[in-house]
Formats: sequence, structure tokens, C-alpha cells
Amino acid sequence: MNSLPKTELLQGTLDLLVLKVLVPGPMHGYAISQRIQQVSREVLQVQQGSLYPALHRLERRKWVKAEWAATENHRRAKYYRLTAGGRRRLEEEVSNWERIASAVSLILENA
Amino acid sequence: MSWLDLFRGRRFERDLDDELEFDVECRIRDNVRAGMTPAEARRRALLSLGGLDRTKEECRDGRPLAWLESVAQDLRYGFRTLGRNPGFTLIATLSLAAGIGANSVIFSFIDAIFTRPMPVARVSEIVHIDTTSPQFPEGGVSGADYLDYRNASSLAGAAAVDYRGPLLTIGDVTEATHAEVVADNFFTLLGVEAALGRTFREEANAPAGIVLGHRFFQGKFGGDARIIGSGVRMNGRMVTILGVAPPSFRGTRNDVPADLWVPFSTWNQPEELQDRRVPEFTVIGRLRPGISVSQAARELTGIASNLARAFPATNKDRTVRVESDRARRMRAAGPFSLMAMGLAGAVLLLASMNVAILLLARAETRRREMAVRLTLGAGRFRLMRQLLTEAALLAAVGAVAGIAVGGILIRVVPPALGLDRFLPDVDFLLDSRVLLFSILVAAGSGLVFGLVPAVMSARAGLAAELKGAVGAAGTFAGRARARNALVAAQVGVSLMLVVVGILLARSFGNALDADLGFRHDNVLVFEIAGVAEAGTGERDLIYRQVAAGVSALAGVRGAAVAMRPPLGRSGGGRTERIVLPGPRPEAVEVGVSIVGPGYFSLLGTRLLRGREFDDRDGFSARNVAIVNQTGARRFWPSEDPIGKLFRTGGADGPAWEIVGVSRDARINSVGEPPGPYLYFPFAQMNSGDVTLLVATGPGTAALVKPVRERLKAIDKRLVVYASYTLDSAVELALAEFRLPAQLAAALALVGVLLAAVGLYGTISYFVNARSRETGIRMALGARAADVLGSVLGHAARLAAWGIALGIALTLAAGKGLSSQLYGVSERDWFALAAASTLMLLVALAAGFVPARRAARTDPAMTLRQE
Repeated sequence: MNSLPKTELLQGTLDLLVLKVLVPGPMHGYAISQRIQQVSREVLQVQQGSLYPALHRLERRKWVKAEWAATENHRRAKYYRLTAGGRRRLEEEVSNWERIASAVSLILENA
Repeated sequence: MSWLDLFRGRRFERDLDDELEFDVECRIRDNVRAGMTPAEARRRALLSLGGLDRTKEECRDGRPLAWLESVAQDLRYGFRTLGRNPGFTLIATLSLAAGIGANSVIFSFIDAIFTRPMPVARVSEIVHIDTTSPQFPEGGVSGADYLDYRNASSLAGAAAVDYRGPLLTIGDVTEATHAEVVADNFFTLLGVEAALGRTFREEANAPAGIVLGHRFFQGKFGGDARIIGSGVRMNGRMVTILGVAPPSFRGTRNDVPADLWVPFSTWNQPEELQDRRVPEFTVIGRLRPGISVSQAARELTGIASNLARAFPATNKDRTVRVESDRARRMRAAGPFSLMAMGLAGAVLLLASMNVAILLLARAETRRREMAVRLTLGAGRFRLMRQLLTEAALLAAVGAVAGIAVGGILIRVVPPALGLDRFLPDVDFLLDSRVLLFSILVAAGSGLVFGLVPAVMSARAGLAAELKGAVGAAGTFAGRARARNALVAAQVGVSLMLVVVGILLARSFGNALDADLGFRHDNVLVFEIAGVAEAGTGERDLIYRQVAAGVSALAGVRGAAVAMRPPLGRSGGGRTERIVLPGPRPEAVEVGVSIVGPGYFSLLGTRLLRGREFDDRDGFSARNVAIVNQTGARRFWPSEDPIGKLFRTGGADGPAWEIVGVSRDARINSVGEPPGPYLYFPFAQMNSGDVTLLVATGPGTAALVKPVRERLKAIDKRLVVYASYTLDSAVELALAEFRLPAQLAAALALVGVLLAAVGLYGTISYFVNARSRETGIRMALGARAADVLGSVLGHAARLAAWGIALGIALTLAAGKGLSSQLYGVSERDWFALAAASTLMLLVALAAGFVPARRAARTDPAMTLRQE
């Protein structure tokens, strides 16, 4: 199906990605994993084994809210929506990530 | 999120399933679109899902209260497992019921007699104050010392208590009571409120009044509240019944509840509070808030040294001790309680080891289950928890069964042991303290039998288990070692119980055979209220009339008065300080009794020299005394004691002449070592306590009534407190040896049974585990006798290890036991040999059934099973 090497996500990074992907609007779990895969040009593979525990974790922390709704094919699916708290969290995570990323690239370029 | 989530668990599961199923469907759909066959699409989708159960588990795990839910799951599973193995559950429950039940019942006895705290406000502030000196080692505080101590700044207050037996006349019936004569602030200090009426008021010129104990109020006044405020006669004087204490408050002693409380102002013997010599009061204090026992002890020790300087005659070597109520009661419980709890603890240990052995055997059969669950992604922690949950469940079932057994034993044992006869007023209860103790004991035992197998099972080599038994040989050997060690320990612990049982039984036998120095068959004892207020001459006359009048009754062989009978219930312990004249006068504290004419011949105590007291020794005659053998040897080692003089009450006190030397007789207990003892004539030394000893022919009981009537006819004041046979007093004195022996025998029996079950279970297990090997051996020509021998050999080896351990244990524990033994050493080789033989026989008997089963192995059958 894909021949690209799978890249393991850093611990905690998955939360950031999920929150970011949910910004445009509610999505169900499968769509989230597909979206991450697609936007990352197939570099990032999200295993269900990590995704669903992560979604439940985010839900418990009230960063996303889950509700059951019908899909366009009239199937019942669980949709996750970003909450206000989730948005704030996303901003923190993004700035965090940028700080780390720039720090890492500084080292890669100058060390 | 709330605890309601627990009930939403089912919905959570359904939602999770739906969510993941939807994911799989989407993948299948996409895979089909990508051109796969439906079957391939499905296979890939499921593959990409990976460990479905693990994913679900991780989704569940973080949920609040998920742990509680999984505990509930473990419990459900545990219950099912227990239900599936009724034999296992039954044996485990019975073992624990025996172990926990024994502990509950023994704890309840000790607690009821000694350690149950007084039901008073803030009992942690209550302290007991005692002074001790070489002369009065037993403690207590003199009246004058009490008045000095009670104003200590570390105390919020203190109250002195004296135990007295005033006569109470209700209507025209006069009876002797157990009264606590107390400081007027007694009830306010303790914070005990009256259930009816009121307690004492601390005020000048308070009216003479008493407070009744609840039980006495119910028994003597039928619980009639109208008696509050009415008058009764106490020792002939009118006093008012002020109130009734609450049922829970029985006074300061657990074993003797107070019938009534009399304030000092009513008792009206102020001279007792002036006396500094005799420490006759029990003193209870209350610490000021925030003050510790040791702070109070420091202050009181300071006061004691001031008193020693101010009053060297009485207080020179007197030290003060301050103890918390709890410490006091623990100390009172003494070495016997410690030994009893130790033996009960050993039984519990045996029971716990039995359950551990059973769990270990079951873990063996569940090894595959555990290994499969481990590979399926269950965490080791979770598996451990499952095993611990099952152990906790067993402990809970055992606790319930044990408390039930304890509840039955608490009713059955006291009458069976005769405890109700000599402790008639102690309430043996299954109260909250006993329940709490039982639960703690069960939890402790659960920890023992739960942890051992759980740790061993969770350590099981995963891969080896799945590959099969061959690869697991190493762990099997490890477990086998653990099992053998457990059983050997069981043999050892029960050997110790058996040795203790034998030693205590032999002590009891020795006590039974002991020559007490007096005869006690067909002797009646009457404790009578003396005629204390009569003058010396009148008293002498009355007691002569008593002895003569009672002797004249048909069926009576003789009668004599005495301060107390030998081995009497009241304990005794009266001493006199005597001075032996000579070049350097020596003062010695000697135990004494005061006896009337005919005492020695009535009790058959031989006089080795001289004569016993007779009617010549009246109050105005020459002062005479009789010394016992040991005393004669101690005071006049190389001389004839007859005619020798000594003084009482100091070097200038009255002189007494020895007129006889009696054989040694037991005074206070059967086991006491012989000590010097002096007898004074009743007419020449005052005694508040008076007993009448009556020797009769057979049929003593029929004479109780005529004697009482004769006494009443001689003088109305001679009220009988109690009457009993001297045989029963001796029996009670022997109970000191009988009770430990019975207790230890019962516990040893239970212990041996538990060890037998453990041995049987373990040897059966090994026989089953080796049935294939046995079959092969027999196919190769081993005879049934060889197989029998090898299994019995295993049993004997276990027994041998156990016996070695047990002997070591017994020798180590022996020191604590020696104070309970009489006429036998704690290193008694007979007891060790007998117990070892017994344990060996038990091991062989327990091994015989499985050994025979092994010997009957049909080699063809075993080989076919391969």
C-alpha cells in the first residue's frame, strides 16, 4: 500500500496533530488518521492503537468533545470537535513545538 | 465525571466497539476502492488495527474509576473461580475460619479481662499513678501522697479509689457489696454522667450519698427509678441513693464491676487520707491537654524526691510511676496473654500457610491461563492484582467465617473452661474492638498467603510456559522448593505448638500432684463481715463463741477462724515488718496470716515443733506466733526457733514469742516458691477480714444453711459475704495452670490438623505431578513397595526439616514460656521427643493415602496417555 518508511511520532506530538487537524471542524477518528496521513504526504502514519487512546485522553481533558452523528453515508460515527480549552491548548502546543523545532534546527545548522 | 461512570461502563464499551468497528469498515471500503478483493481488504484492515484488545484496554485505562471497574471485574472473576473449585474454597475457608476464629476469641477474652479501655471521655488523657518501694512493690499510693500528687500542674486533676466491701441493707436483707470508695471529683474527672439522677457534687457539707452501678441497680432494685433520692443503710448508716451510673461504665476494674460508688465525704474516714505509710489507694489522673505522659512523669518524680526528703521514714525508697491507661492495661495483660496471643498467632500462621500452599497448587494448574493472558497483552501488574484480589476475597470469606466461629466460641468456651465461675462479671463480647481486630488479622493473613503465590506466578517464565512443561523445569523446581519449605515450616510451627501443649499439660499435672501442705476436701469456707467496731475483748469472745458454736453442729468436725483460707480468692498479701533482735537488729518484710485456735489441725498442716494456738492465747495473754519451716530456717538457721523473740512495729514495738514451727503450706498460689511466713493468733492481732473454716464429713453442702443460721444466732452482725468449699478455691487456684494447658492443647490440636492438611495437599500434588514418571518407573520394573517408600520418604524428609525447624523455634521461644511452667523445664527433652515423634507420624499418615495412590499407578494407563 505504501512503501515509505513509517515515521514514529514523538510522544505528545500526536496530541498536537490531532488538535490541529480538528481546527476546521468536527471529524471522526478514521478521517483524522487519513487527514494526518494525507497532509503529511504519507510520511506520518497514525496507528489506531495510538490514535484512539489519544482521542479518549483528549476527551477526558476536555480539549475535544465527542458526539455521535450520522456520516454522509448515513452511518453512525463518533465525531470529535475542538473545544475552547482545546484551542488554547493547541496554541500552547504549537508555540512549544516551534520553539523546539527552531532549537533543533539551530543545532543542526550551527553545531 | 463521577462514580456514575461505573454504571455507564456498558455504554462505554458499546460506544468503543462501535467506534472501532466504524474505523475498520472505512478501511475495508478504502481498500476495496484501491482494488483489493473484499477478503483481502478485510484482512488488511484488521491487520492494520493491530492488537484490538490492547487498544481498547488503553482507551479504557485512563477513564476515571476505570480501576474500580476492573477491580469489580477481578472480584466477579474471583468469585467464579472460588465457586468452580468448591473443595479448594472449603478447605481454605475452614483453615482461615479456624485461624481467625481462634484469634478473635482469645483476643476477646484478653480484651474483656484486661485491655478494654474505660468508657470515659478522652481516655487518652487518663493516666494511672503508682508508687513502689521495696516494702510495697505492688504499687498504689498512700492517702497523704495522693493529696500531694493531685495538685501537680501537669494534671488536670486526679482521683483516688479504694476498693471496699460495705454492707448494704435493702429492706431487711443485708448484703456485702463491691464498692469503689472514690474522691468526690471521681465522676467529673472521668467525664462520666449519671444515667439516672446525678453523680457527686464537690461541695462542703454535701449530704451522704452513693451512686449505684447499673447492673446492681437492675438486680437489686429491679431498675425502679423511684429509688433515686431514697435512703438505704450502708454499714448501718443512712445514705441517699443519688443516681445510677450508665450501663457502659462499670468502674475502674474490668474483672470486678463496682456495685456502687461512695465519695470520700460520705465514707468519712479522713484519717486514711492522712496516712503516708500504706499505699492503699489506686490513683487515676487526667493529663492537662497537650501534656505528655513523660512530662507528667517528670513532674511527679520531682514531687516524689521532695517527699522522700521531707518524709524519709515512709518515702525514702519510694518511686512514682505514671502510665497511660493503655500501657497499664497492656502490662496487666501480662505474660499469659502474650503467650496465648502468640499461640493463636502461630495457628493463624499455619492456616495462612495452608492457603498459600493451596493457592500455589492452583497457580500451577493456572500457569497456562496466566501465560496466555500475558501474551494477549494483560499487564503483569494486572495479573498480580487479579491474584491478590482473589486472595483478598478469600481473606474476606475467611474473616466472615472466622468471626462466625469466634462468635460461637465466645459463647461456648467460657462455660467449658469454667471461666464464668471465677470471672462471673466479665462480659465476653464480640464487640467492635474484637471485630476490628479480626478484620486486621484476616487482612494480615491475606497478605501472607496472597503475596507469596502471586509473586511467584507473575514471575513465571512466559516463553517457557507456552513451550510446555519441559522448558519450565527450572521454575517448576523453584516452586517445588517453595512448596516444600512452606510445609516444613508448617510442621515446625505445629511442633512448637505441640511442645508448648505438652509442657503446659505437664505443668498442670505437676500442680495437681503438688503437696499444698494442707488438706482441702470437706472443708467449707465462710467469708463473714467481722465485728470491726467491737472492742478487742468482745471480739475475742465472739470468735470463741463462733468456733465453739459451729463445732457443736451435727456433722461438723471442727471450726476455726482465720484472716483468710490458704489459696483464698481475696489474694492476701498482708505483710508485717518484723525486727529480729540480736547483735545487729534486722528488719524483714514477712507475709502473715492471722488464725484462730484449731486452724492447723483442721487443715492437717503438721507442726514440726511446738504447739498450735489454743484458748490460752487470748488478747491479754503473752504475745505468741508460729513460723513456717522456711521462715524458721531463714531467721534462726542453726538454732531452735521455739522461744525465740521478734518485734513488730519497729525496734520498740511489741515482742512476740515463737511457740511452734509449721510445715510450709501454699499461701497465694500453687506455683509459688516457699517463702517465710508467720501466723499470729486471732485474739492478739486485729484482722478486718474474717473467714470461718468448717471441717465436715461428706456432704458439705448440706451444712451451709445450719452454719449461717448459727452465726446469725450468735451475733446479727456476722453477715456471710460468700461461702464455698476449700476444694473449689483450690480448683480456682489450679486454673492458673489448667487454662493455659487447655488452651495450648486445643490450639496444638488445630495446628496439627492444619499441618496435616498442608502435608496431605503437598504430597498429593507431587504424586500427581510425577504420575508419568511413576508410570515409567513401574513399567521399567519398580515395585509398588518402592514407589510407596519413595513417597513416604518424601513425607519423612519434610517432617525431618520441619522438626529441626520446630525444635529451634521452641528453644528460641522457651524463655517467654518459662514463667508459665511449673516443675518442668522449657527444654524438656521428653516433650521435644514426643512432639517430634507425633509430627513424624502425622507426616507419614498424611503421606500414606497419596503414596498408596502412587503405588497403584497402572503403567499401561500412564504410558497410553502420552
